Amino acid sequence: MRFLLNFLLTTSIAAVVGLGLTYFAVEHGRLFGAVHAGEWDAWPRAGSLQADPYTRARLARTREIPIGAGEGLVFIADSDAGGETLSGDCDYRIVGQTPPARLWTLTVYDADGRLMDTPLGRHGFTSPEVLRRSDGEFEIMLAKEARPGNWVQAGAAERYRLVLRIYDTPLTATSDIENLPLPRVLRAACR
Amino acid sequence: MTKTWTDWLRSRLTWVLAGVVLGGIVHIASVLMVPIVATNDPYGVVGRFGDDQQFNLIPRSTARDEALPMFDPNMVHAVCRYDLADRPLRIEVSLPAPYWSMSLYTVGGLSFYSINNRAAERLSVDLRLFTSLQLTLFNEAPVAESEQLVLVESPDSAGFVILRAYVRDAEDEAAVHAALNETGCAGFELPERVPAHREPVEPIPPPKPQ
Repeated sequence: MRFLLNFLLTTSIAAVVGLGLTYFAVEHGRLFGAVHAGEWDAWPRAGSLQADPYTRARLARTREIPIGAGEGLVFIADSDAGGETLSGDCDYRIVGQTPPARLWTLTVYDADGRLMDTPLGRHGFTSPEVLRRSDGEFEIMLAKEARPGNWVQAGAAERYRLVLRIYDTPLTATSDIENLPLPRVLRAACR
Repeated sequence: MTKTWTDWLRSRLTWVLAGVVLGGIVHIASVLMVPIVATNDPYGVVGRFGDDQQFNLIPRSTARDEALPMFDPNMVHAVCRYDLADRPLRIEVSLPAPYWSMSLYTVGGLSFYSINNRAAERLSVDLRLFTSLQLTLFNEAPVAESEQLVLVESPDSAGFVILRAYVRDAEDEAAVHAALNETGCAGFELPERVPAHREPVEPIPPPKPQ
């Protein structure tokens, strides 16, 4: 009887610890396989046969089919340059430049990874469309009210997620991704 | 003497530690299991867009309707599911888009080969996809235009191809859609094998009895 109780104790601890860790790693999986560059996270090996088990588990869970590692890189930001979560109550400026690439697209999602719903039906900017300053840098405004320049209409979302996709880049999974020139996400006015 | 539950746990420290170690094993096993038990593998998911062995359009992502999660809404996507069991596959692509790329995926959705319209350095790509055995047979009898072809070996006999093309406006999109109808993704026959001419070999005579 005593043995049985102890055995039950061991197995329940194993189940809680093991499955709990798996749940957090897969569901909130920002821990493994990710490369961090400021406010941006990337999984450069996600779209390749070298993807690690945590990345594979996360992809199976989200049912995502990543772009091929040879096609480009995807960067995701859930927080601004100050480390604050991207709130639907705030406007944001996305300023700077992108790593070398033939094409890039910047798209606004909500925190669950769904495209932001806006009255104008636009979700972001692409490199052929964006207006640049004379120094080659750009500034994109994510705001509720219309702005001059590169304006993305902010839709109703509790939190935003920015996704920067760069296509046909000389960068690979083994490049120095932490030190790439990536745009900064700066908080502007909040309501 | 009052016994708290921490005292109770402490008296069973070995059992608790065993639980934690076992938990680590459970964790590793369950992470590896997630892709295996996932109800919809990517190969199954992309099958709902149309028949196999042809490119099918994936509806473009809008805020209310995303056919596949995290697909770039600025791109037109098409998918072709293939099976190399009987024959190798031929993919012929030429799209009127400033940028397009193509990735080949395993059944589990991991990309094993990618190419884009600039890396191809020509207007169209003629890609041939083989199993290991088919590639060996193909290389034994190379066809005249072999140098123009992109030859790729697939790790599995089944998988899928995703094409993505950047479109700026509705006009671009219509042109890409029209070109996708012309885009081939079908099996082709390996060239007939010409049996190599060999001198007839004299059979080795049985050893003479001593």
